[in-house]
Amino acid sequence: MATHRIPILGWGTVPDTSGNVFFEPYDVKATNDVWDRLVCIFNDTATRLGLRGGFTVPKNYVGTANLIVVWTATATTGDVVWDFDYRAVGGNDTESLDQAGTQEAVTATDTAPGAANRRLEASMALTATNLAVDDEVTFELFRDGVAAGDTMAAAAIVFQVLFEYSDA
Amino acid sequence: MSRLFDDASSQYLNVATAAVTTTPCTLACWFYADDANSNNYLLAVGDGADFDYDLFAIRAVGGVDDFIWATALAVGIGDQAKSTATYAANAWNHACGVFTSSTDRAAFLNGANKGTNATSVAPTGIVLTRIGASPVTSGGSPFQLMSGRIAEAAIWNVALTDAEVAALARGVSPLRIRRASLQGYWPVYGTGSPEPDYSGTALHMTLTGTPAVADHAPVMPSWGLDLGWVGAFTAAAPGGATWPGWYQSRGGWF
Repeated sequence: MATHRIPILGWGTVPDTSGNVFFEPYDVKATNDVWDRLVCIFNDTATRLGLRGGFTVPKNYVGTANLIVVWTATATTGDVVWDFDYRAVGGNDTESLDQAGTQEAVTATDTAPGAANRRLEASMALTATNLAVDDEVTFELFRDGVAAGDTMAAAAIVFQVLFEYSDA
Repeated sequence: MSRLFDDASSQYLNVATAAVTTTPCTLACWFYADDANSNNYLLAVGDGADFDYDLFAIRAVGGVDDFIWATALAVGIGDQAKSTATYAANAWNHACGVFTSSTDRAAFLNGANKGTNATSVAPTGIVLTRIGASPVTSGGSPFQLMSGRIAEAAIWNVALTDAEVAALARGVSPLRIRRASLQGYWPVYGTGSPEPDYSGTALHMTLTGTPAVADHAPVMPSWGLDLGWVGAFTAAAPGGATWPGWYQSRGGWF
């Protein structure tokens, strides 16, 4: 059995319409201004800010599913509350992709980096049996500014969102 | 990032080449007006003249009716289509003008609220493209400068359909809409001057003044995101061959 991680921010990714989730070159907030790849910004607000997308469960998926947010910040104090809501749809001409409601919502509270721009991982365990090979998973990743635990007074900078799982 | 334009400081982006010169064409951008009473040229092509203007433009006309105007002027005379709903200040909105012919133009707010106009107007002599100010002058200076942010500006040399306009307003990148007809695309990330044109036509926009950088519009990444390795498995390849694994990138299999 091996553990795999796949990036899940694919072509279907789109921010919510709040104006507080958006993509920008990293050198806007970084200081070295060398690696100006795009990152996704979740501003510090008192609302839930979402990034929507979807992915397909890999052929070799067996279980032990986790959702990993790779992120950082320029602030070094406070916490961020991440919330991952999803719904999986499977089959071939058996289940509608036009679903209402959430299959599962999981959260994680992660502390700001000890120094600005350090890499962080926030991990959330998904119910493995909710997922099956070839399922189409539609999700929304939130920074939950409504939660009392979200105390970091700065933007959260997301580099990657990973689906982690084990094979046979 | 977007650019935050201060209308009191004569700030705008300009390139001395026209992305389009005639119909059909489509102009679109996201904007965040911070002054409900300011009349703003958002994105335009024009002849740069000081009178008897010729231009195609999309405008956020605050203080008059708060509609999006899709304006065509020829020798200073013309008309505009107006959206059927008003925009909200201090929030991101999407504006689009579809100029199908000299007698068919439409203005959209947020992918809908379509208003049309059929007055015969045929601008000529278009030579420049501008973001955040009129593409013509009064007393030698552009006017109706933007007060607020602009991002994700794009121009096509075709008339986009209503569905395509709606897709843009839902956050789809202009690079994903009629790519072959895209004549200019300026995300306006605010990383320097000139602001690059990513359409392939290299109409990079020079900054006039120093518009500040500000938060970006809610638009999906321009180039898609890499899904990476999707697991060790055997999948059917196009043409019936099988490969020991596939790599998905930018929406395709490689």
